[in-house]
Amino acid sequence: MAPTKNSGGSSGGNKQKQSSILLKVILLGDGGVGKSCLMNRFIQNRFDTTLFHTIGVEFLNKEVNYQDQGYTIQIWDTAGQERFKSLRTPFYRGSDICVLTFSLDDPASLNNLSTWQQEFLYYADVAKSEDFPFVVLGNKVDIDESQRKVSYEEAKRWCESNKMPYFETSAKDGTNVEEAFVKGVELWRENDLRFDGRVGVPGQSGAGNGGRSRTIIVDSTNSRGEQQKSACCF
Amino acid sequence: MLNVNKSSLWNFRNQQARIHSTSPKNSQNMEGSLSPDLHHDCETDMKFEQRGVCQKFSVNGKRRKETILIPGHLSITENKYGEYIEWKPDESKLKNGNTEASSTSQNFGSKYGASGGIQFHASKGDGRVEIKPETSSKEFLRPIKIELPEIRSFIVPPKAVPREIIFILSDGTTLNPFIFERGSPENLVIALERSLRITKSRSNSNGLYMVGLRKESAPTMPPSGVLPQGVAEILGVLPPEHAHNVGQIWGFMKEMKNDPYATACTTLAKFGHMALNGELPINVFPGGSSHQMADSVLRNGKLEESLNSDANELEADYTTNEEGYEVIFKPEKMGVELPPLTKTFRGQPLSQEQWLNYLDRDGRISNMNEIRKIVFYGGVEPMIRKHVWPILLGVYDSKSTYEERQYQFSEKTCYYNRMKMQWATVSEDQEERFSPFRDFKSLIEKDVSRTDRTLDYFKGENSRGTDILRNILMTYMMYNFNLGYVQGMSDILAPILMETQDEILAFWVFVKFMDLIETNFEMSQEGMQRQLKDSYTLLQLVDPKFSAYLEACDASNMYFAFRWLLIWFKREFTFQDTLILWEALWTGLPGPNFHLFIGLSILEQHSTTIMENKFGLSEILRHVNDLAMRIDLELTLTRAEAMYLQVSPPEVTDKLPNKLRVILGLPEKEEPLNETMEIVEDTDGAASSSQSTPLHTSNAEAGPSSSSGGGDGVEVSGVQRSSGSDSSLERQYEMGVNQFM
Repeated sequence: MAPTKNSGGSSGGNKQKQSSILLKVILLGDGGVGKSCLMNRFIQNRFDTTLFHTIGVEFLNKEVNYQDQGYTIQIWDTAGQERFKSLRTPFYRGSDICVLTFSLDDPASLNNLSTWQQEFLYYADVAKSEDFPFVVLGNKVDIDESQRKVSYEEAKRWCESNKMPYFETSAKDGTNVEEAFVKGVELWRENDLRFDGRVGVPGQSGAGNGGRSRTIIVDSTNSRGEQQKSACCF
Repeated sequence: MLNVNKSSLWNFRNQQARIHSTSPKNSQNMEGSLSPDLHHDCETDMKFEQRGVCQKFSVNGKRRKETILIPGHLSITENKYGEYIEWKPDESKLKNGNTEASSTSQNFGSKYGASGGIQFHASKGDGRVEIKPETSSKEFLRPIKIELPEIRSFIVPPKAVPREIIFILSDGTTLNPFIFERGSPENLVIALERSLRITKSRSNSNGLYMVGLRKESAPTMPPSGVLPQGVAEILGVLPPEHAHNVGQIWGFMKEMKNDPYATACTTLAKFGHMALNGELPINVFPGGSSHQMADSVLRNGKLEESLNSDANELEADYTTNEEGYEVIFKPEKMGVELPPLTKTFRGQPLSQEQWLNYLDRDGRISNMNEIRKIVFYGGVEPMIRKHVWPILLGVYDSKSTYEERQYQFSEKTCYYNRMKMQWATVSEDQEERFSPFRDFKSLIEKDVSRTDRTLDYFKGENSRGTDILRNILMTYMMYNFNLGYVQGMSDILAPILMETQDEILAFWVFVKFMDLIETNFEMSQEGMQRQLKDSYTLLQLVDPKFSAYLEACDASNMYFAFRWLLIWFKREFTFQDTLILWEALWTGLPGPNFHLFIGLSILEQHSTTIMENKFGLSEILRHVNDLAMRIDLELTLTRAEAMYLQVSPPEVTDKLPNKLRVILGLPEKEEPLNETMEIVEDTDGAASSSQSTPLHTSNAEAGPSSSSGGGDGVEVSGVQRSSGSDSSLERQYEMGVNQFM
């Protein structure tokens, strides 16, 4: 297949936008571990030292191509403090990927990952929790070794026991941020290919058939009742 | 089987690499291309170009809102991947300073003076500052490139001078306005029309234009056995080119299964929209395959009955006007006719001279109610805020003398220092065994370094402002350990601290403010839930159509307004506007829960945009988040007051059901009026009424005759705590309104 980067629809006069798959990514973790900074690094490739802590819920979109398929990565960033749980959990529904985040200078934030995972699985209402794509980020890898309170091994151990890929990231200098999100998409794809049947459209899987027909299985964009794609009204 | 090669395949689709920012202030609406142009080799066709188009940024200035205009040019381009609207900053202008820009200043008249390539312009017409492009303005220089189909609508405000255009994208993002120094938005619109189908908004007054793809031929009759294209798009969330595929139906079916009610409501609502817009054969339900489709959907599951009744209801609620496309959810059920909105005005801030006139020789306030009225309508002049705030918020009694206040302040100073010592002397060793303390402390540390850091007072490593912010929050934790520290408190404190620049005074003012909004921060979050719910209940009264729309979008929980209410709109307005708003709210006028009307007022300004763009849940959230720093405070306050006056007259309140009377601080009626007006299904309304009960009983006890109770020293009637003097305050206020009008 020609390595075309085309995402602008069929060539010719009709410039109708070709659909990309919308992937809803939820960023979770304790307050102050760097969720918003990670989101901004990934989406805007910048690090803002004057960023506010998140109140409520925010999200940002980014269009990317992966294996000749366009994706709209929609990252949802939430307030980390425990008591805002009732506000953030309704937004878990319809998630495709969950990014669990802790900070390498804060051992408690690693210990809390299990809580975050459980909270997510409970409220996201995912069908097969054991296959749901989780990625774990140990953020702030840029800090001095003296400030670091969580060893690689310790974090890795937790991730392995939970069968989740682990990345040590820095929103500040960009280390591993993109890689981590790519991994999330990879996991989602593997999962999606394996359990294509869940959308009830057999014979549509297979990455090779131009990618386009796969787009039909947009179930993931929207399988759980969010109205995110009302853009399609046009 | 899956060959994953991320390095080569993970390409940013540069042609769409726009960025949206929903976080206010800190990342001021940056839009632009991120990654290097992967398609530099492809030919680009320039289809339209207009020089002299500035991008307008609104930022939190030192004392007021400042506007930054970045000169540039706007163009429509086409390459083999698609068509784009592009804006690029004009580098030459930036380097050359004010040569060209000054020549354009006459276009701006007195409103926009020219002071260089980059202009700072203060909203009141002064305080213009020139900034050096190479330093602080980098973030304003990002180019923008948007694929045309991404544009969902745009606004050309009819009265704006100079002319401007604001684009709204398909995901709900609102771009910064483009200001036309030269040319006009109309020329751009004409150029856009070559590629896009543009229709004027139905409401016609706000300059909103809807955008659709220009299609070679509009879909007329669907081929037999398939859905009309439009239906497929709504049902299956699928691109039109796949409309023929059966697969799309499954998405919808699945949604039905998972969340039947919301899905049905939304989809049916969308059907209505589409049908009435002429985008869909209007007889989509009565016959043909689509009917079967809808039918089978309805039979799928146990919800046939409820859905059928829903469908009927929706049909009943839709109506068309002469033009044939107005969608109205008839407010019949409400049974309450609201009088028309009255015109309300803002006034001048409380001046030092006025303030001194209200003080007698010993410092007692002679007429606190008058002061409240002035503050409600105009705020307080900055230089006397330090004196007025403590009295307005009840740090001191308004009947106290200078001497008494001085004495009280020294006591409060001692108390503060004692509490400060308590936390300052907790050793690390102690912290080890004091986890609640440790957790609060850790979060405070993290948050003070993320609060208003763009403002000079809090700028830089270990700024003095940040240190004091930490001190006060730590001390407040000791003062109110039940609450401790909750995110959002630093937002509440920062403006107070920056304005007073006095650690101890700021603390006590903060304490009083926190008293008003404490329930916002409680662990249970019941207070927040109640306010969100009350907001929706009020919206049903003042704007039934929009409330029905939100319900159809599954947005009736109003979660998008959470940040507004949690910190009283602090992140939505500039620093100075926030203070003016807070001062108005601190007066307790015109009555309980006025802060909810601020939210309604903002929503009301955007309801048309939201409905005509057909925003769904996440797009509404995005749109609301994007409003930060773009909201007109004066308009918001006057509208909010007008709305409050609209629902306050006895002939209205007499007909209101108790749940609304309670929100307005009125005593409950003996006989529930739920039959005449059904507002929300009262499944979990218990929290609402039980929480608010004390409010009305106190009112009832105080009775309408206790008008003198509204005298001085009365506690500020806040969110949940309304004292018995509310009714008198309200009367006072109404008198005030008459005087002002």
